[in-house]
Amino acid sequence: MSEKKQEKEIQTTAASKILGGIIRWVLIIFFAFYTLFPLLWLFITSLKTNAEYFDSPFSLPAVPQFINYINAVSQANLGRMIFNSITVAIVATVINVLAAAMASYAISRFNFKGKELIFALFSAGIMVPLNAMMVPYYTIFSKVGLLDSLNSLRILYAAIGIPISTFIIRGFMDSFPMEIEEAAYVDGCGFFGRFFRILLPLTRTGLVTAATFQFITCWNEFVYANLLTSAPENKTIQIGIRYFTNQFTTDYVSMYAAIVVAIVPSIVIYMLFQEQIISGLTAGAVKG
Amino acid sequence: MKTTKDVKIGIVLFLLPALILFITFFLFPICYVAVMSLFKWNGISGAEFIGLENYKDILTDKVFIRSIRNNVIWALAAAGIQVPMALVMALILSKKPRGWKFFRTVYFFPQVISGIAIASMWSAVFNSEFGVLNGFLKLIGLGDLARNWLGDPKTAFPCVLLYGLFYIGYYMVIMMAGITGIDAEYYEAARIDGASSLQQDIHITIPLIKYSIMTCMTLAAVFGLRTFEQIFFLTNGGPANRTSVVVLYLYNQMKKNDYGGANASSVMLIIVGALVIVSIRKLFTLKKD
Amino acid sequence: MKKRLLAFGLVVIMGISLLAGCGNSNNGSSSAGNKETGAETAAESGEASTGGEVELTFPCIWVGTDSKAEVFGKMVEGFNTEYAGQYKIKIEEQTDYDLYRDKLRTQISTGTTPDIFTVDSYADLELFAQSGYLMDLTDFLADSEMSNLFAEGMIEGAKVDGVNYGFPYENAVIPIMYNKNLLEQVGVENVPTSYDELWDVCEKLQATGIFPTTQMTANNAWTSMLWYSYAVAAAGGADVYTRGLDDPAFVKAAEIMQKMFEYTSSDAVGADATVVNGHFFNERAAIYTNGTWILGRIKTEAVEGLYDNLAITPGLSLDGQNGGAYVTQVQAYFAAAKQDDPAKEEAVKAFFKYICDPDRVLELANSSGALFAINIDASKITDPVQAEIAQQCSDAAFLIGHFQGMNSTAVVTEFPAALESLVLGDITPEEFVEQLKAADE
Repeated sequence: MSEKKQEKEIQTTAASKILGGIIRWVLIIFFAFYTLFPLLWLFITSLKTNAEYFDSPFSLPAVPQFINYINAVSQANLGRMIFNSITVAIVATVINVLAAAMASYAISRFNFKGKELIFALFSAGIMVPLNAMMVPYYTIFSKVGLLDSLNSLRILYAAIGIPISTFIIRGFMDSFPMEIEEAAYVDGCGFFGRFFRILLPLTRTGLVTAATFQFITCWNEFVYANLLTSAPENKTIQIGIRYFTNQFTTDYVSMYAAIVVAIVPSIVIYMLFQEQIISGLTAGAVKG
Repeated sequence: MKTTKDVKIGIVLFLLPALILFITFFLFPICYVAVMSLFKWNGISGAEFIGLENYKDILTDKVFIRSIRNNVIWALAAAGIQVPMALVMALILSKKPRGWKFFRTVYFFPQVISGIAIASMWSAVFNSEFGVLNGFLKLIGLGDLARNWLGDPKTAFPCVLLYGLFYIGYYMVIMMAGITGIDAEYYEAARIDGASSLQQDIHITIPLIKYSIMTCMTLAAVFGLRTFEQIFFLTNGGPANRTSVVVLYLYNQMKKNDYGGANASSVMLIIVGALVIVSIRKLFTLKKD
Repeated sequence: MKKRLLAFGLVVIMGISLLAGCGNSNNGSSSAGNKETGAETAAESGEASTGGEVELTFPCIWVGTDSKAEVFGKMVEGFNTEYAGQYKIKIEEQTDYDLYRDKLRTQISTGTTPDIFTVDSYADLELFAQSGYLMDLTDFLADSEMSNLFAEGMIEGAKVDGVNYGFPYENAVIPIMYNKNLLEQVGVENVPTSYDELWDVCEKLQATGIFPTTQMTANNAWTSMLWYSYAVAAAGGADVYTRGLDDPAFVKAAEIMQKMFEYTSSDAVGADATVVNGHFFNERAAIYTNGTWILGRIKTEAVEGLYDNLAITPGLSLDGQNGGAYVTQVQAYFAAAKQDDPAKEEAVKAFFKYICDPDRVLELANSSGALFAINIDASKITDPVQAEIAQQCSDAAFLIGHFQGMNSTAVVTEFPAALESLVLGDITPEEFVEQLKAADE
């Protein structure tokens, strides 16, 4: 009786494993297809002529128009813009994640008056529709004389990401039990030591996650990139993408080529960040 | 641990950078917007104090009400459908099936592609004359269902909402990061007890990444409430405002030179969002106690 | 405890906000504030310019892939060379119009108006003029040296409360275009001249699976807005806009639009310019309307031969009335920031004189397909279709602005949604006009 039951159980587990495997792979492939489709479409379309694109948006190009890429890179000066975007995004991300991690540490690990108020205010900041802030932001930067400078974007981007980054990093810090630090405290590890030696390494995955999103936000922002800079040497990649849009017409295929070019650095940086998470994992495992 | 003087100084020092940035770029501008929401103002000159009139105007505007409703549906769908899907995929990929690194990168792609490009593609997919969706329906003999998806009041909003829900990369990344932080010991004990991988997921992984899940749900709800680009590039609120959302509404107020109304909408949005964030947090911390 | 903290926080916020509010209203309304800001900008740019060269900032939309970019860019370069050491125009490239407008209005509202700029509508010119930061160009334009260059009534029409804060430059001329090939396919020899004839043609085209007209509602519903403008012209005549939205012509024109949407592609609701152009350029649709600047695109992006097969006509008549109208609208006004430094003011005027030179404007027209408010020798237009349009326009029964140009920004912004409601059958033509009127309040 019991043997039979066991046998049956083994059978069902084997069957459910296979079924589970099938479901798993169906899901993996569905989502992969779903997310690759736009990229593939974008790439194919960027090799068409505008006439082909107008005629049918899903056909293949008769002759691949690599000239679109040459146009995109030469006309819009994309190289300079990508360089600007990278420096802006890196500086803004470093400032942002550092400031957010410090604030999260204070909020997550200590009790003090007004900490939940500060956190609630920060959280409400996530909701602020940035489009409505053009006049105040412009006024701030014009008053301090930072208009038409990439520094204005570095500061602004670092700031607008504070709410989300703090929110994400605090979530990660909260999930670590206090016991680890208490042990360190007993060993004589101070406020700063606990932050740099314990919490930062432990929440590395959270920091990298926040940094990834912050970087992408900086990379994709265009309203303030246009508002706060004027000189061609201060333009960022998102302005470059819009170089092919005009009052009445858009050169779509060149725009798509520019978009493809703009995607490459952000994907590379994303992969580098993700590698950090994996190495963070092994570091954590060693410690654990 | 005692709160010593050195800790107090530390707390202040550590809060300072974020606070300075926040006060300059959030608190002051929000106050400015809140004050200006009490004025009738065309964005250029002649602001005139009218008290709460702007709020009355937007709250009696059918389009604003519909926009709020759309936002709420969006927030619920994102938190209730998109995040669970992301969780499932995060659980699957953290078991490191073949090519998991590749898939994890691929799932994140939509985040890095400019919104214009994705919207252009989807508007072509949904197009009634040459769209892929209608073509597919005709191919499988469901030609009757073919329609102008984004121009039909019945289908426009579901289409705009649904296509983005399957882009789960953002939340999946947060939850995978949470999962990688889990100590391997937990699983070893479970494996000795003979727990299946599904049981391990339910009893170990999910409770341990509770905060990541909360972060995702909150972000999803909040992004749902302030969604803009996806609508702006795809339908711009049409047909007949069926797909309008609050940020688009306030953008149009600005376009119509009604800055008072736009500012009032901003304030409403911030208040609603803050309430949502605080309630989700309450919900998750209650469970803990 | 928490509640008290929250209350305290709110008080702080309100306190700060009051301060912020005060600061702002001072800047906005008092003239002293204006002068101060003006002086600041002047001083700043004074520093920037070297060796007495006056530098002017000009955020320019005719850059990048715009059809006017090449020749207009050369014009600016020409000016800089001619006045080297004296004046210099510094172009800031602005390609995306929405972003440009957001930036411009932010700059004007904060008193950092660029030295030279363009606006695309009278409504914006009027709005920005209220800031008090715009240069009064009335006397400069009244001088016969300038006024003689412009088509009749053009400068007068750009006045805001009797003052020229700007002058018209690009003038959109919008014909109705037919694909003669497709008309012949269904046995239509002559292009329609009345709406009744048009419906006949549409019926025939639709029977063979060709989309008769091209309609769209996305963004600003551009081409459908133009169709509506023609319908308004036919229903209400030349001075319909002076009578305002209460005129029955607007309801009648809405009825025409309902019918137009029966004779179009199934994707019209929600379609943008890409879709509409795609249909006409690829001979899926037979009847189209747009400004002359589209001719260049038809040459390069449409199916072969379409350009040579275009039939061009003015507006249609309704019940035997108001046929032969031509929709034209100023598409770009030039304006400038008020200057405290007379040298800068001279520089601005020198630049305006330079770009209004008829020979230069002719070159710009020939290179771009656009037409202008400045009189040029029509016989020197090289493109035959563009020349034909210019000719038809000057022979037209009457000229009339388009709906977008003749109404407030609020009405214009409301138009696409109202049009969608109308053609989806949510509202009647009367309610359509009511909805537009309500937006204006």
